[in-house]
Amino acid sequence: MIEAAFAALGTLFTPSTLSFVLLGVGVGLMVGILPGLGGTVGMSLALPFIFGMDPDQAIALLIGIAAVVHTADTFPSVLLGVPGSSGSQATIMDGYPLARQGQASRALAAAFFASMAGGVIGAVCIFLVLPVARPMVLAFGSPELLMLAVLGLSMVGILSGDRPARGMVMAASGLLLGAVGAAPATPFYRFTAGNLYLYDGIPLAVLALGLFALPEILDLLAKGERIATEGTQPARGSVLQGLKDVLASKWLVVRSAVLGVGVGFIPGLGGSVVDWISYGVAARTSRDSEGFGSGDIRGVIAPESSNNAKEGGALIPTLLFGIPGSGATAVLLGGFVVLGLQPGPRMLTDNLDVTLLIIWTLALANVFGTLACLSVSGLVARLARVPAARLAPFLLVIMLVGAYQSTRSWGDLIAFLVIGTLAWFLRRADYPLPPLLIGFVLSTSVERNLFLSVERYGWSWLGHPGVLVITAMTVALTWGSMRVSKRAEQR
Amino acid sequence: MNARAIAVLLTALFTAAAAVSWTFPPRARVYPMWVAIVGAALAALTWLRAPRSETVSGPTLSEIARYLWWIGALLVTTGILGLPTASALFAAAFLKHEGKAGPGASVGAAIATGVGLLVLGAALDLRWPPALIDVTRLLGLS
Repeated sequence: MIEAAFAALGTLFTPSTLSFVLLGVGVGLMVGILPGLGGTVGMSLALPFIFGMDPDQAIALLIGIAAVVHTADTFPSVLLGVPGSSGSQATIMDGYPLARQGQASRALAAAFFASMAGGVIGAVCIFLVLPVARPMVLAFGSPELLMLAVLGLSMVGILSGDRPARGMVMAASGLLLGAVGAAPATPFYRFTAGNLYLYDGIPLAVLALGLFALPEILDLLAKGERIATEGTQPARGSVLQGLKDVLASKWLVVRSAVLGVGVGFIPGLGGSVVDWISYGVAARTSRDSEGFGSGDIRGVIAPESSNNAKEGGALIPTLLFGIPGSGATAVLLGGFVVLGLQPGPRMLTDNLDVTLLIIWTLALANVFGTLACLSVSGLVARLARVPAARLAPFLLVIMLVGAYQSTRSWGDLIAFLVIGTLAWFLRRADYPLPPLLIGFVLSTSVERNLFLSVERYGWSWLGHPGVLVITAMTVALTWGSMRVSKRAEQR
Repeated sequence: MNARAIAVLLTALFTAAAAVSWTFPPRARVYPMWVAIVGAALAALTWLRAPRSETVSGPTLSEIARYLWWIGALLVTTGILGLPTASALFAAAFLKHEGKAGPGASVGAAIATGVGLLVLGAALDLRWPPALIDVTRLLGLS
């Protein structure tokens, strides 16, 4: 396998393959930086072009895109408090407060280094885990997936700050909003009022943009402020500081990346929850965690390490079983079919060279993506100093464009405006919005897996070993965070 | 609208959702109905616990209303002229009136926004909302 790995590395470093990696990285960064567009869109863009391409080059292009979307999506998350894609939702929790404190460059640099480390760790993990991953993937059935979703929901406590009851109300609102549209267990459309737009449910990008972007921009405009309310740090020192922050939190990076790979390789759970889980785990298990939510750099490092690592994890079920672990890998699967590759256990025997090329590309694209983002981060961070009235028209246009790409109907734009206005009222009355988003993200997973578990196992699934282990983890993390909160209150 | 008023509204919405869920077929009913019932209970609890008068911080509705009108105007113009043209006009007008930018900067922003969107649209195969008179399409630019 080591010889094959070196041969794949040689293939990657041929000028033609390398140029396609760079092209993929460029497209991935461009897609990532636009709020509302994610890896799935980026991969879909490239798919029509790979017909007839050399498989090595096509794979370099596709993996190059997938690897760096979650690196570039940090820009809107940190600078605007708007999730750049589904994988960078939790980054806004501390990234945006840091930008408001004039530390946007530091937050961006830390995020990019953490993303790179996470991506490389993800690639190493696939290399190590791939030969033994098959039984691990098969061990996750619907009961275990349901309990993982419950573990994700338990993060609401962390995300609610000092308003736990309001946080739970918001989480319930998210769970209910997630039930709009087609029911997973039966052909029936719920809460649509006959409106065709709602038949497929509310798109995640529209909801996230409406919840976070519009209220923030409206407030900035009304106050006549800039994003950075305090003095801005010089970019060069901040990049170094960001690197130091990541090095100081090296075990957090490793832990979050491994968590990202773990969540990523469970098909069906989806990448939209991994950053929340790693953020919650970091907030609950780190020392002096009182600063989480108000500008703790570890709150940026943890989700950014895990969301890039997740792409590696999501490749495991894709390669071994042909089961996509995320939207982007679903499109990648389509790419494999176009290239005449058949995902399955034979990817480790007959197509080992392709598999190893994927792993190397993943690692290298993460490095390229980080270098590219770092080179422009200082310039982009200056946007935080521009008065809102001069920045807002461009941001609003970008957000409308991003929102419209969700289903490409007028409903996206109207929903964006309605959700944004309602979110402004909720925010003003001190209702925490992140729990609403996490409830929404997990709603389908909770309902579908609860239905499947009860249909398949009755209530005996509650005794499954995996269920018990995840329940114990949920209880331990919740109890741990309550203890930390109590200690903080006593101090 | 303060926290108490929102809690009342949410309690009413959750209760209505629970009642509507009751009319769904059994397999579509269980999950939303129970989420709505729990949500209604939690919202009622928040309502009871919320102080009668709570100081709310930040801008008022009247202060942000002006900007909501701007966004509404952008959407209406988009429906008439198409997104790239409407965005260019919006950027120029907003910068001129709200950003106090000079005429040169406003025109420059309009051109940059329009051209930027067309280039981005072509590169990423983006789609624009349908419009009554799609100016860029009439000019063969998109």
